[in-house]
Order: sequence, then structure tokens, then C-alpha cells
Amino acid sequence: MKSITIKKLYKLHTWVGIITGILLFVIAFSGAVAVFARPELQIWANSAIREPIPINPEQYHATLATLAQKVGPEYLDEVHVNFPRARSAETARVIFEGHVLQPDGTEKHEGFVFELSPKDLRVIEKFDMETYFSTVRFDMASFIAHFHADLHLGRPVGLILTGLLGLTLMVSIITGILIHRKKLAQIFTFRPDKSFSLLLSDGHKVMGIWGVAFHSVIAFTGAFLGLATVILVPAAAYVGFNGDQEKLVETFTAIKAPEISHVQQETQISEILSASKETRTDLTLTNFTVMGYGDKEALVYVFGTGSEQLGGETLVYQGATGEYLRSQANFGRLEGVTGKILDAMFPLHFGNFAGIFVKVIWAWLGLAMALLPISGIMLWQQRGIAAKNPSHSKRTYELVGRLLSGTCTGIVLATSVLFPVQLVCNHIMPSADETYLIFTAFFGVWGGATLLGLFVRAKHSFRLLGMMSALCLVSVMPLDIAFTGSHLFNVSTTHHNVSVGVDLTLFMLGLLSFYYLFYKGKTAGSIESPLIKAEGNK
Amino acid sequence: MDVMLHLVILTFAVIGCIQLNLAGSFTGRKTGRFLGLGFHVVALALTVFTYGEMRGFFVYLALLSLTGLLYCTRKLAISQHQ
Amino acid sequence: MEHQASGNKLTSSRKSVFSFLKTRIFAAVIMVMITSTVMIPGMSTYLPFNQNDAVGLPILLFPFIWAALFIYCFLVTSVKQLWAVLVSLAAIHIICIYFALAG
Repeated sequence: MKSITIKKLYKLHTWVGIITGILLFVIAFSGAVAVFARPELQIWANSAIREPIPINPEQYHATLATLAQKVGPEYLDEVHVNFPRARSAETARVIFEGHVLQPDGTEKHEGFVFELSPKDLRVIEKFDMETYFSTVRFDMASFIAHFHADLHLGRPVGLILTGLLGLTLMVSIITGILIHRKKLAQIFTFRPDKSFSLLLSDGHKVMGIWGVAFHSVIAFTGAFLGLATVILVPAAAYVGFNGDQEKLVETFTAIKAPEISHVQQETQISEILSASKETRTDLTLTNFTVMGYGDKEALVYVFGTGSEQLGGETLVYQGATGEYLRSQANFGRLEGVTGKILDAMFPLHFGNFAGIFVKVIWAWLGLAMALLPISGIMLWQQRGIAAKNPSHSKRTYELVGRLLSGTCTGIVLATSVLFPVQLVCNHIMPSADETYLIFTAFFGVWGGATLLGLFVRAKHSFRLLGMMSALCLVSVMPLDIAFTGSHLFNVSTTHHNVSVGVDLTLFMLGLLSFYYLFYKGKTAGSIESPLIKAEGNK
Repeated sequence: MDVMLHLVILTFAVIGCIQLNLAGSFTGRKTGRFLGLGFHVVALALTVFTYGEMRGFFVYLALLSLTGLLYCTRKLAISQHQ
Repeated sequence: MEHQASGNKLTSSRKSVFSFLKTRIFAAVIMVMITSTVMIPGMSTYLPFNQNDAVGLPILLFPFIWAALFIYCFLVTSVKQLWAVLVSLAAIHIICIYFALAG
């Protein structure tokens, strides 16, 4: 490759990295935490579902029958049931949906949503479907998951932004691969003791080379997931479906509705759920859908994760007889190769396809991805300051360093703060909506930390904000013990395995952070960042 | 049993990385390359056996990334420099 | 360091790596997005696959097409060539869409 081409690629890599670096850190860091948002953090954040809740098929059968009578026959076209502690539900939820014919010939989906107590399926609250899905309500787990998806900027703006970040990450990866000509020669090169600049350079390269497969998958799936509903699907539907996006989405995702016979016959929910539990012990059942509830031709789709299929599996049953018909993947049932790739998108992005072991790997690699742009920006700073003819003033480099320190350490602190805030909310106002407090705590802390970083030297702000984050993490376990009485030594009786596991993990992370910030920082050698030296000489 | 299997997979992946390393570069020694590749193939086989073909392949790729990264940056844990 | 501005081209005693940088940035940010988006429905008209793949594969290829065109914006030597390629790609696919919709 010509040297001018390498130069161009290097410049492109540098500037795309500098422009998108901080935002990329925010998305990647929140993503690393969001890997555990569902169901681990969701279970931790909601006391009602901390202990395992077995699925009682008879209970669901009886509850659906009672609620179906309440809503009436016009809302039985689709019945969706989410189990508690499943991926997206902190409680049990039933949606009764009817397809109401409008005067203009179109169909409108209307219905009711029932939130049920997770253990006895008693009705807690009833909503109109439209009201339910337009109301925003977050605990810290769903807050983090949504923050990662769209930065809480709303859709489509937030989704477009995160989708674009996925695209620019792909550009960074491609240019990085092309400009790094000694990939194999330096694949294990890491010299943290020589100089700070070398530490950054080696670290950046090592994280880039080893993580290239992971980063590429995340960039591609992230770009797709961000842009699919706002740009890609509308564009694709323009020709193939005459602009009808709903029809395109239905073709790819819809659970096929049966031919309603209008002959009443009880849907065998109890039998179907029992059969699913007994025959497929490899699956963790998350939800089920009944198409045509109470009709002779009803079909029941039971969804579960944990099978060998990346995107989970759907068990299909004849509703009236309980007869098992077939098993299918979500998109993989479609003809062609697109379906199989689409099935892989969500699981590969979130790492939720093979248990906690894989989630831990995904989180670690997500953190490495967060550090990639930061190390790159810091490298740019170091080289700029050390250069004989720097492109920018020393003041500019210092400001970038302070912005970096405040914003990035700030997001770590803001995320750490959410844990004790959630516990306090649960304790002080157990049934109230904590959404406003979660938002205020997160954005208030992040904004404050960013401002602090602008006025305080980078080294000091990093240490201070880091210590505060460590303090928040370490405080979670004692707070949880004080508020709920749940801890490691009574886990055999409470069965709060997940929440105690979260407490312990946060505690260890806090201790580790203290160790590195306090002890390692004090024993740091004479090698110091030129930027820190420059700030110190002012 | 599950935990033991995962530890074994991890160990094979790490040993594979160690075999492929020669003074910070990808080793030029044929023995090193052969052994490293062998250990990684066994790790891949065990992962596929545990998780199935599709899932196992992606789990192995991620594991390879993580073990390589952690092995390279092991000096950070003992380094005096921050 | 001396700078002389000449139209869109910034010349200095230290030579800039990219010529017509502002034009390239505009092309990379705006035109590439338009071209890549237009290519999705356009490709579905001529890809020799079943309907699901003919619609789905262009959606899946979008990130690669966008990234390739973005990098091309900065690597290509001639800005005229850059605009010719982007505009041609967009025009060809718009024509394919027109004929597909017109029947």
C-alpha cells in the first residue's frame, strides 16, 4: 500500500476516533453494564422477584380464563403473556389485543394490559394498551438498557445517533486494520513500564487486534439495530412492499394468525405449559402468545432461550387440543439466509445467548471496546504535546484531557450511583414510580462530573470521581443487607442467588477500584504523562 | 462439572496464547505455532461440545479475544506505572 | 506556519493530506448516507434471490456499503471522480426503483 494511502487512512482513523471517541466510550461502557440489565439487574432492582418464581401452568390457565371473560371476546385475537423475571418483564404481564376494523377498512390494534403479582398472579393494575406503551417507567436496569440503546434522546434521534456510531466504529476498525502493518509482530507487545505513551500505544493496538472480531460484530449489529427501524426498514419497504413498512415487519416477524373458526373451545394453557416445561428442560421459558384465544383453531407459541439456536426457540402448539406441532426459530423459519442472520443480531450484540459465562466475557470485551477510543484520544494528546510543531495549542490538548476525564469518569460514577439510589428508592417509596429520581440522579451526577473535570486538573478529577464510584459500589452490599436483610449467609434460605451475586460483584469491583486508585496510584513510578507534567508546570 | 469444564476451556485457551507468544510477537517457531494452534483447536472443540456448533463458535471467538487480551495485559497487574 | 486559503483548498508550508477537505466531508456525511439508503430499495429490484433475501440482504449490507463509501470519500485522489461515483450509484438505483414501481 502506498505511503500516502496509509497517511490518509491514519488521518481518517485519528479524526473519526477523536470526534466519536467520548460518545463511543459512553455507549460501550453502558453496553457493558446493560449486558446484565435483563434479567440479573432487573431481578436485583425489584424485591418482588428476587427469589425464583416457578411457572405454575394451572395458575396461568385459570388467570387467563378469568381475565378473558372480563375483557370480552373482541380482545382475544392475540393474548401475550410475559413471565416474571424473564428478559423483559419484572412482573407477570398479560396483554389482550383485538384487531378492530376501522371505517376506512384498516385494522387498529386495541386492547388491555394487566400487570399481575409475580407469585399469585393477582391483578395489580389494568391499563389501556395505548396508555401502557406510551407511559415511561424505568428502574435502574431498564434505564441503563434504554440509555445504551438511544441515550434517552427518544426515537428516532437517539437510535440514529447510536446507529451512526456503529457505522463510524466500522470505519475505525477497517482503517485501524489497514494502518497497523505489524499486527502479528506486535500481537503480544505490551510494555507498560517504559513510558506512558508506549503504554497507550501498545494498549490501543493490543485491544484493537485481539478484540477485532468482537468489535466488528458489535459495530455491525449495533449499526443495524440502531438504524433498522428508522432508515433501513422504511427504505426496504419502499419497493418490495409499496412503502408498507408494517407489512414488511409482519412478513419477517409476525406470528401467523390462524383461520378463526368462531367455534368456541377452551385453550389448553395448562397442558401446553406443562408439556413445554417437562419436554424442554434446556429452555428458559420467557413468554407465550395465544393467537385466537378460546377458538377451536387457536395456536399457542411458547418462547424460550437457552437452546442451541442463537436467537432462542419457539414451540408451537394447537391451542384447543394441546398438540405439539413444531419448533421454530424466530426469523430462521423464513426462506433464505436473511432470517438466520437476523436471528443472530440481538443475541450476538447483547451476549445473552449462552448463560452468565458468556455475559461476563461480553462485558469484559465491552469494557475493552470502551477503552479503545479513550486510549486513542490520549495517544493523540501525548503525541501532540510532545511534538516539535504541534497542530494545536497545549491549552487545547489540556481541555480535551479534562473533558475526557470529566465525561468518561463521570459516566462511570453516574452508573455507580444508580445502584444505591435504587436501593434507597425501594426502601423509602416501595411502590412509587422511581423514574424521575433515577433520571435526576444519573444526569445530575454526570453533568456535575463533566463540569468538575473542566475546572480541575485531569489527574485530580479522575482520582476523585474514581474514588466516589468505588465508594458507591462498595456501599451497595451493606445497604442491601440493611434494607432487605438479604446477604450471602442466608442465601440458602432466601434463594436470592442473583441479587446476592450482584451485591458481591459490585463490592469486589469497588474494592478493586479502591486498590488501583489508592494503592497503585501512590506507588506509581517516575514515568508520568507529559500532559500531567504540562498541567503541573502551569 | 460445568464450572470445571469452563475452567478447562479457559486454561487451554490461555496455554494456546502462551505458546503463540515469543518475546511479544507471534512466534516464528514451528513447535510453538503447532502447540498453540493445537490448544486452541481443543478449546474450540470443547466449546462447541458445550454450547452447540453455532453458539460454541461465537463463544470461542469471544473467549479467544478475552484470553489474548488478558494475557497481553497481565503486566498491568504487577506494573508500578499508572 | 503560513496558511493561504485558495477556494476550498487549504495550502500551507506543511502540505495537507486531503485536498478539498470540506467537500469530502460533505460528501462523506450527506451524500454517502443518501446513496447508501437509496441503494437498499434499488438493490432489491435486481438481486436474484427470493423476496425475503432480496429485501433483507440489502438491509444487512447497508453498514458495509456505507463504510466502504465513507472511506472511499477520503482515499480517492480526485474529488470529481468521487462525486461522479456517488451520484452515478444513486442515479442508477433511483432509476431501478422508478422502473420497479412503474411496473
